[in-house]
Amino acid sequence: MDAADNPFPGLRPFEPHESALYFGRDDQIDELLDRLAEARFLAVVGTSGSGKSSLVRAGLIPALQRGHLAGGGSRWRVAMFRPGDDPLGGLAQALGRPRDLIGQSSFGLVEAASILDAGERLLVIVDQFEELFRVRQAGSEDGAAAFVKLLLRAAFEDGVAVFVVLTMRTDYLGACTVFRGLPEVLNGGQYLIPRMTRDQLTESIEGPIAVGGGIRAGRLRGIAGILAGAALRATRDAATPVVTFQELALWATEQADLAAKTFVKDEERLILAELVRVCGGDTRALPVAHGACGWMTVEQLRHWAEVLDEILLSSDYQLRYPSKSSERLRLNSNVLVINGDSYPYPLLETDFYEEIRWPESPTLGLSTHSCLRPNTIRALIIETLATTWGTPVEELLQGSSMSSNSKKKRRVLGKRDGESVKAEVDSIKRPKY
Amino acid sequence: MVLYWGLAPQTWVEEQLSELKKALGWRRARPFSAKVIYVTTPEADDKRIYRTREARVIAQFGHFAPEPIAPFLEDLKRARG
Repeated sequence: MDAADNPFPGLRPFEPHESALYFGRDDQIDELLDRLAEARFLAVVGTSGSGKSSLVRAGLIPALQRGHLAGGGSRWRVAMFRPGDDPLGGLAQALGRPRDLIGQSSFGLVEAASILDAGERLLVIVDQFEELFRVRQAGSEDGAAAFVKLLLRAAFEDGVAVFVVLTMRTDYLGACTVFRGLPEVLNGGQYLIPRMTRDQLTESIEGPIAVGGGIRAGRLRGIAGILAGAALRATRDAATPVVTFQELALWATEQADLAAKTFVKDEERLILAELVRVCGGDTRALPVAHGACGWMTVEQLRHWAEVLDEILLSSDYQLRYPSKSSERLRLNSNVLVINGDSYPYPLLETDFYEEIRWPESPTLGLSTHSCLRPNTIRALIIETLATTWGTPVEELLQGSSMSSNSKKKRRVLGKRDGESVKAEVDSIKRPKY
Repeated sequence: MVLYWGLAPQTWVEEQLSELKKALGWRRARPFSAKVIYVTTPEADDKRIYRTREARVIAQFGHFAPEPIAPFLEDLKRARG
């Protein structure tokens, strides 16, 4: 796995090939296996975003293929699909069989199982089963009912190695009564996804990080614990239930600003920003770098990096400092060298680096960094502006002196869109944080 | 760590390797000092050509011979210092 990859999927579910990153749900996977050992039909239900799809995709499928189902062997053929507008077509496509063949009778799926090799089993996964009710509303009641009958027949026919697993939101459980036979089956084979415990949630954060190599878990453990604890408190208070990665991402974004205020050092805030980011949250408005002008957000830093980029590439700078541009400021692997001192890059979003497009910019792996220096990039910006505008750094750090160099600023910044640059300059004079 | 590949399909091997990778995320986890996949009968095309970056692969479809195991044992000795 590439260390630069985010080990968290964000809002999409984990996929089967990402099982090595799927943590904190081992008990739930065992529960699913126990239920499947008793019956070949299982409905995994839960609230929206509770992790139903991930549990089945990255939890159940790999567990079956590892041979963890008692008496189930390890030869599994998986047909996974969403009902969409044409559930029968989706099933046929997932099986690689003609639609007409599957749909000709309620035994269509039973007969499709004849393609299985000796000792092989077929796992049919209907993800987001609730989509079926949309089909029904669209007027295809018979089609939806026939599809359900097909599934039930295959799951309960003796001697057929077909297992049916569906995922569905709990709000649609009541609607299942419209299908004859389905409620009875659901009563017998259903798994309601529980909330994760504190330990499980912490594991779900730390595990992928450790495996993905993105951030050393030991370094992050303290803050991950704080975040997990706060998330669980929010869950207990039911103000903002946090039980899934999707909810964690939203929660982390909402809480980031508040949480940032409890961390007084730039370094701590950047770790927080990293954590929010790997949780899938939005870090743009997070204040991370503190200086004379106040706190600067990730978004502001990114804008200033763009400005800096243009300055360095500008003919004005090149003419005045033909040698300095390469001597004073150069890239060496993952290290930024300023006046002979080496600094690791500050840890921000990966696209932060992509946007500024440094020549020979390395692919940044978070694990390559040993410390965080947010003031480095700020100091670099200030120093370069001071050099370019011919203004002493001390003056520049006093926000009021910025206006006295407006002509020089315009000369440099005039190459950019006027309004946006003015906004950027203003943002550093009137910081939000 | 020795992964013995006999009757199981290749997906089983891939899943076992995935679980080994996942083991790095467990608390108090330590990397394996040596990993080998021992591929043996029944002989099959996918087994004959199987290679992975995750572990040494030793294929023996006939009688057991100790020589191909030697590099793995060397890995173990090196790990133990």
